[in-house]
Formats: sequence, structure tokens, C-alpha cells
Amino acid sequence: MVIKSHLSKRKLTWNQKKHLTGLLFLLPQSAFLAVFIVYPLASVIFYSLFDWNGMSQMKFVGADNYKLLPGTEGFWDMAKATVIYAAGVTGLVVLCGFLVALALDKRGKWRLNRTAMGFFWFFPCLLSGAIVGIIWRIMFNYNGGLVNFLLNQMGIKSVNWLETYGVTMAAVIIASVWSQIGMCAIIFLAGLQNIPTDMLEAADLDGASDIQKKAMIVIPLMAPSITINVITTSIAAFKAYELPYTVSKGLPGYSTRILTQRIYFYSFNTNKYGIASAMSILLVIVITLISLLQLFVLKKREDIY
Amino acid sequence: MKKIRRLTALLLSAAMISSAAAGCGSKSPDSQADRTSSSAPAEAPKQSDIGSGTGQEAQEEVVLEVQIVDTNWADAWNLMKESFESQYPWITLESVGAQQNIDSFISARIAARDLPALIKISSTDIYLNMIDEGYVRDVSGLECVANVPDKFREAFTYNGVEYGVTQGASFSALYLNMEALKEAGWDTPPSDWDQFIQCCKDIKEKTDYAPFLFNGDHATICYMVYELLLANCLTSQEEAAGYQEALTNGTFDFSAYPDICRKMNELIPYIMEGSASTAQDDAVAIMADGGAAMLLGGNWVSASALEAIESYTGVENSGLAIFPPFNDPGKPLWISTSTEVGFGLTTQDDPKVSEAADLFLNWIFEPENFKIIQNARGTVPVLTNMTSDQIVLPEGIKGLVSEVSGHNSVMMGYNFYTAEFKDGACTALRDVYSGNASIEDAATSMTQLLSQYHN
Repeated sequence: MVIKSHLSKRKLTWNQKKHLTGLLFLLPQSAFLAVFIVYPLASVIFYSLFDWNGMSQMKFVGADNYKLLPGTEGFWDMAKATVIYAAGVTGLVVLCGFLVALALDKRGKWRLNRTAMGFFWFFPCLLSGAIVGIIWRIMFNYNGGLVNFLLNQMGIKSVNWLETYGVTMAAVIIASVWSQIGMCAIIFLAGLQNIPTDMLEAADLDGASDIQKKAMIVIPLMAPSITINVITTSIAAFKAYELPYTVSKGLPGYSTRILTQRIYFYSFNTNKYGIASAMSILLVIVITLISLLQLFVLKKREDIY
Repeated sequence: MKKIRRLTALLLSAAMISSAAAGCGSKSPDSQADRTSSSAPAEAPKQSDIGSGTGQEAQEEVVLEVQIVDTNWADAWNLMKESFESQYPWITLESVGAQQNIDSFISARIAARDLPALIKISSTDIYLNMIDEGYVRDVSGLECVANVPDKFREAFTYNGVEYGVTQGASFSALYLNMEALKEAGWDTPPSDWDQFIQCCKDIKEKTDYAPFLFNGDHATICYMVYELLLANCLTSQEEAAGYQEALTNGTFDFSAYPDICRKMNELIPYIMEGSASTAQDDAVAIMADGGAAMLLGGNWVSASALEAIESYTGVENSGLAIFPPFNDPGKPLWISTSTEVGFGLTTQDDPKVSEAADLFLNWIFEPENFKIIQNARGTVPVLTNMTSDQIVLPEGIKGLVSEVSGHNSVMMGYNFYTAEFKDGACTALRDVYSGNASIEDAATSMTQLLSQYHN
């Protein structure tokens, strides 16, 4: 009783009050992170150690699910498809995003109608991946698709976009790139706007050509934007599910079936939650390692400039 | 001022935490155990109760989630819902998952421990697991199953649990655009394999139609092409039973039938390009645009396929359904058949919901109500109490329906194979249909897959 009354009378110091206020502001975000990131991640790690179909008693199997992964049907084909897809999408999105940003840059010589171009390139980012995928699937359809129609108009024979090895991966990458260029271009555009004008003017006085200015001034100064775009795009590509699936359904063979589709298959078509969780954790590890590697290499490059 | 700021921060934090907690759902995994323990079937209402109310207790408002609607009879759902709700005003029907892959939908609902009371059900892995774990109720006590023949009830019995009531029977069919065939010089449909291949050849050479189309995007149809070639290599019903048993226990050797490879190689040049990835709706659209002359499909697509053909040709009855003539000349024709996907009851925590689900299931299978689904889907009737005037099937398929039982048949593969085998086999077969791989390689791959992934 004495202690209680003593505590109730005790006043917090200014520093304690400051820390308490800070903690209160952190609390909502921490709660969200705990509920929607930490808890699910911990659950997936936990489930990956069990043989479980979502309904039965869970049976502890240790690392067996991880050991089983390489032997599952089409695993290596799908791993290869994932790497090709992620590399293709990341490379093209960053390259095209940069070119679009240059076209939208108010100081650029390739200046186009910025509002129209901005809308045209950014609009796909507002659509869900499934919708973009379905639109492109219809366009790539062998029978009556818009792409083949246009090819035919140019006198080129129809291409079986959705059933030909190599070509289908290209189709999936094209659809994914189209949907992501806008966001990448916005980041590049912000970077371009921050390049000091005097540096470009000095280069002009020194007689530098447009290409030389881009190569020697613009690209090096854009290094932080490149780092952000490469890392965010590659993470998104490794995690992509609905867009590649809706475009190709993983065909032909396993050539466009990326690992996220297999995770979904094991979870919701076969109810093998243990294997699905193990595959998810493997993917998280791969994404983390690749992101760290990219960060290391690109940061080093940023430091050079 | 400082106090107000702190208070606001505190209130905001509390509000966000409470909304996050609310979003996580309130059902604990323990409710699974509750479901298991309450897996006994709810007592079936007496027929006399149906339509006259079941007493004060049953008249408490109930919202009944059902996952039974298929896209091919979705238009009839509103009629069904209105009719049922007018008879049982205290029950509100809510259709869920109609546009989604049913396995994925159910898996997600299992994870959320929130299953619809009435679901579509078949013998695939996920449902057998659900039965094992007590998520599905036995329907043998319900009155509606009394009018279902025993062989269809047996097909829906697993480990002693009658887990569903079939919507009917299904079979493989070939839908012909007879105007296209006439243009190619065929006034009558082909009746055996040699005639069929010749017909394909004539269509390819003499018309602008692609000879043969199927919706290979659908696993059942993708496998059906192979299944029909296989069925017509069999010589007796005993051999068919052996095939089914071997398919179930993983010992079937797909490579042991060179005739299948020969026929498949003969067929491939006439398959419309893009068939391997064509969805059912797209296939019907292609027929409606006059893209192909023949469409292989299940009877469930009969109404839309025949209508599509007629809409293109503008000629009444120009669409005709026949059994796929994959038999060698002079040999009997084999087809593939199956029970349709059935309707089953899930265990529910609330007995009122279970009672309402029983009531609705019994109501569905009353002939006057069931004809809404059956005639929309064009399924082979199985209810013994349906009268001929209640069965209004599409004209082009009527003849086949009466002949189904007279033919040798194998059960459609989806009754036997696992999700992994289905996925791997269809991937291999699609490669064959698109010309990316040989049928011989696919057969070898399917044999290996089956030995690894079987029931």
C-alpha cells in the first residue's frame, strides 16, 4: 500500500517522458509488424518442420521437408525459371524505367508530353497483377489475340506465345515489365531532377556530347536510384505470383513456372503445408542473399562516385 | 497541450492495436477439434417438415454459405435462391467461391477454419483428407440419397462415410459442327478412328476450319484425350477395372501401349494450335467464331458448345454431339464416364446452420428443384424419382444420354489420380499437344510420376 502510494506520487523525469512518448508512437507500427510480418514468418518456419495437411495432427519431421525439396517434381526447372524471370524482369524494368525517366525529364532532349507519357507508363502500376496478366494472356492468345493479329497485319506468321519454350518466358517478362516500368521510372525521375544543373552546363561548356553527359554524369549520379530500383524490382520479381501465373499458367512444361506457383500448389492443391513452408523459407533466404549481394555491389559502386 | 498530444497518441495506438487484433480473426485452431467432435450427421428433417416449416427453433434467422454454384449454371442460381428463400424465409443463402478454383477456395477456408456449410465435393486428395479429419458429414441419413442409385452412392463412399450426393453422371463427347463436316464432304459423322482421322484430314484440306479442338487448360479434358485413346486399347471391362486399380495403386505402365502412341501421332497434326492452353470458355468462343470443326469436351459443356455452333452457322441443329469415335474399325467403342462432382455437408459449430444445410440439400434434390441445375448443365440424370418431363436436355445430346450405359467405359482419371500426378501428367501431355515433346517421352514420364505420386 505504501509502495503504491509512493509510485503514484512519483513523477517521471523529462527523459523518461520523452522515451515513453516515443515508444507509444512506435507501438502501432511494431504491433502491425509483429502481427503481419513476424508472426507469419515464425509460423512458416515452424510449419516447415512438420508434416501437416492443414487438418491432421502435426508430425515433427525436422529438416526432412527441406531435404525433400530438390527431389520434388520439376524443382530445378522451376528454380531456373525463377532466376531467368527475375533477372529478365529486373534488367528490363531498370533499363526501360531509366529510358522512360529520361523521356519524362524536363531537362532532357528526348522530352515528350510529360503528362500523357507519365499517365501511359504509370497507369499499369495501378492495376492488379492478375488483371494485367489476364489482359496480356488475351493479347498473346494464339487464336484471335491482338499480338498475333498485329503480326499478321505486318505479314508475319502467328506465334504460339503461350506454348513455345523460350517464347512464353519472353511473353511473361514483357507483361511483367510493362506493369512495373512506371514505378521504376518515377524513382529515376526523382533522381534525375536532383542532378545539379551546373554540372551539366559545365559539361556543355567542355563540349561533351549528350551521350557523354549521360554516361559520365547522369548515370554515376543516379547510382542511389539504380540501387533502390534493382533491389526492389528483383525482390518483387522473385516474389511475383499472380501475373506470371495468369499469363502462362506455368506452361510450356515447367519453363515459366516460378517457385511461388509451386508454393501455392503445395499449399492449396495438395495441402502439403510442410513442403510449401520449407520452399517459402528457402525463397526468403535466396531473396535475402541476393538483395544483400546487390546492396553490397551497388553500394560499392555508389561509393566510387 | 502536451497532455492532449499524449492522450491523442495513446488513443491512436489503442485504436490501431484493437483493429489489428480484430483483423486477425477470432477463431482459434482449437475449433477444428470442435468440428471433429461434432462430425455426426445432423438428423435429417422429415419430408413432411420440408415446405411446412420445422418449428419455432428452426425459424431463427440463418445465413447459409454454400459453395455449389458452377459457372455453367450460374445463371440458374438466382432462380434457385429465390425459390428456396421464399419457402424458407428464415434461411438466407449466400453463394461463395463460385468463380474460384474449388480446391484453392476450400483450402483457404480450411486454413481460416470457416468452411461453407454446403460444398462441391469429389474424390480428390483434399476432400479425402477432409473426410479423414472429420470436416465432412455423412449424408446417408438424409432423405435425398434414397433416390440415388446404389452405384452412385458407393462412388461417394470413403472409409464408411457417404460424403456427398452426386449431381449426375458425366461422359466424354465430341461436338461437331455438321456444316463444317458437310463442307469437307462428310454428311454423316465419323464412326471409328480411321474415319475420324480421314475426316480431320478432309477438314484441314478442304475448309478453313481447324479440325480438332479441346480445352487443354482444364486437367480433366487434357487427360481425356489420352484417356480415350487408352480406353479404346482395352478389350474388356475387367481390363478396365485393372487399369483403374493400377492407376490408383501407382503401378500402371503408360509405355506399354504402343497403339496409343501411334494414334496420338496421327492426331497431333490436326489438333488446333493453342488447344493445350485453351480454357473452356475460350474453346466455346472459338466454336462460336467458326474456328474449329470438332470440339472434345465433357457433357457439362454441351449446352454452350451446341449453342455456339448453331450461333455461328445460323442453321438449327447444326451442332451434333457424338461419342468420340476413337475405336479401331470393327471394334466396340469405349468412352470415359464418371459421377459428377457432388454436393457435401461440412461440420459446423452451430447446429442451426447444420439443420439449414440439411434442409437445403434435401430441397436441392427434389426433382422440381434439381431440374434447374441438371438441365442447365446437361448432365445425365441419376435421380430415380425424376420424371421424363422434368428432364429437358439440349436437343443435340439427348440421344447420347440414353446410350451412355450401353457403352464400355473407363472412369475419368480425376477419380483416381493425385494432385501431383495430375499436374505432372498434364504438363507432359500439354507438351505433346503443343508439339514440344513426343508422346513416348510423356508416357515414360507419366509412368514415373504415377509410381511416385499415387493414392
